[in-house]
This record gives sequence, structure tokens and C-alpha cells, in this order.
Amino acid sequence: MTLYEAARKDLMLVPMKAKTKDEALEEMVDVLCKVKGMNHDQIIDAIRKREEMGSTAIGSAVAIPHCRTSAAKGISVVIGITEHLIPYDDNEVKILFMVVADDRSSSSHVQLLSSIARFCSSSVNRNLLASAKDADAVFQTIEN
Amino acid sequence: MLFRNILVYIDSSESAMIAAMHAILIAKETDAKLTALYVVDTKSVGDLLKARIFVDAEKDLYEEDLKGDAQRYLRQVSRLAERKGFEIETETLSGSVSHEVRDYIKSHDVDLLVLGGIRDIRSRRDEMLSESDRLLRTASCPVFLVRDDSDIWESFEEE
Repeated sequence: MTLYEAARKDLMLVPMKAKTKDEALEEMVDVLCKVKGMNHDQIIDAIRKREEMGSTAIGSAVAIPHCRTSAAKGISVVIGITEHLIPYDDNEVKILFMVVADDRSSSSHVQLLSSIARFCSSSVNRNLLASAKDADAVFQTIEN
Repeated sequence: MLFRNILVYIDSSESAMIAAMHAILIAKETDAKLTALYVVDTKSVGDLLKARIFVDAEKDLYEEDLKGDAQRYLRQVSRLAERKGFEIETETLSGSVSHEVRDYIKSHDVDLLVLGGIRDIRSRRDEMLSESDRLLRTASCPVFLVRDDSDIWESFEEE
């Protein structure tokens, strides 16, 4: 599964309200659980457990929080763009991709994370996302 | 004999199963040997670790799960072949998918590669980077492409 295949406009937060890492994770899990009908507490717990293993900020103002949990339904990506840089462990981030997968989706999960990593390796893509004003602009950047 | 040694590339997708059904029918029809190959994509997992998206413990966990996927999907292909009364070989390798498949083709004198996962072009960036697309462009033998919307179930059951 690629980023383009997984991306949905109703799972994009542009701009995010969050000013901290915790708020950002909560905001992303909120929209995911509302749209896909998952249990908020189970998803946020799984995301936080993964963050305890090590920060998911990868540099260049990007973070990719992710988890696998039986509470998930299939595989989803929530994309959030903050208005300003927000503190995220030892980094600052503006672009967040949250990937949540059920525990039978290892292969798709790896493919999707790889697709996001390739996408974010381009400074052009990062700049376009960072300056996106709405979900349409984010989707267009991913599509092209 | 039109084909002697056919290889079908299997991944964790429905497309791969559709490709496998085509490959079984072709191999049976042409009396060729058929091998189903799954490559555990340890290259991508390693890249995710290098990019600091994965931590060490996650890398190990995912690699184990991917190996489990390989066994599960190859078992499904074997069962499909059994339904047609046809014997196939299965093989699991690890590394970079396109690299391993290309090497296998050369070292085993494969004369036809059957590939699934070919869909309508959506994102050009992803299309160019998909493993099926790479194999299609770089395999050293003829390639039989199976579209995702291929209507194979009926003919597979019929024959």
C-alpha cells in the first residue's frame, strides 16, 4: 500500500490546532476514531506505547507516529500540518503522518511507512506540505 | 515446450493470488515447472530503521511477522495448485524484492515471470517505485502481466 492509496481527505488536519506533541497525537487519534469508528483509548495507548520505545520525529520537521494494534480496522494514515513548528521530544515538527494498522497488516504497514519515507525525503514535497492551506493542497501534493 | 521454468512473484496481496492462478493455468497447460517466490522485504525494514522510523525492537518484530506472511501466502498458492492437481515449488528469500527476484531469474534459468499488482496509473511517483513496476522494467526474461481486475476465478474453477 502506498501513501497515495492510503491518503483520505477526511483524515487530513490542515491546519492542526495542537501546540504540543501530546495535543497533536490526541487530535489525530480523535479524527481517526471518529471517521473509522475505532476505540480512542486503545488507539492512543498503542501510539503512546510506541513513542515510549523511541521518538518518531525523523528530522526535517517531520514525525511519523505509528502503531499496530488489534483495536485498529485495516490500515489508515492521518496527515496533520501544524501552523507553526511544535516541540516533539528533542525535535520540532510541522508535518505529521500517523499510521495505525491492525495486527495482520505487517506487509502493508511496512510498504506504507516506506512510501511516506520516500515522499518525505524530497525537500520539495516537505515544503509543499508545510505550506499547504487545506486538505486539497495536501492531496494534490501527494498525487503529483 | 513453450515455457520450461515459470516463476510467479508472490507478495501479501490479493493481486499476487490472482497472478498465481494465471501462473498455475499457464504452467499446467504448457507442462512447465512453476515456482512461487516470496521475498521478505528486509531492505525496506532496514531502511525504516536507518530513517529512524523504526527502533531495533520493531525491526525484529516486523521481520518475523513478514516471514510469517511469506509462509501464509505461499501456503495459499500451494493450495490453489493442489486444487488443479498441479505440483509447484515454493521459495522464500530475504532482501530487496526486485534485486532478489532478478537474481533468481538469472540463476535458475527462469523463462517466464508472472507478475500481479499492475493497476491503473494513480500516483506516478508510487508507480515508478512499485516493486512490480521495477520487475516489469528490469526482468531479464519475458513477463506476463496480470491486471488486478482480471476475471480469473471463473475459468480457474471451470477448467
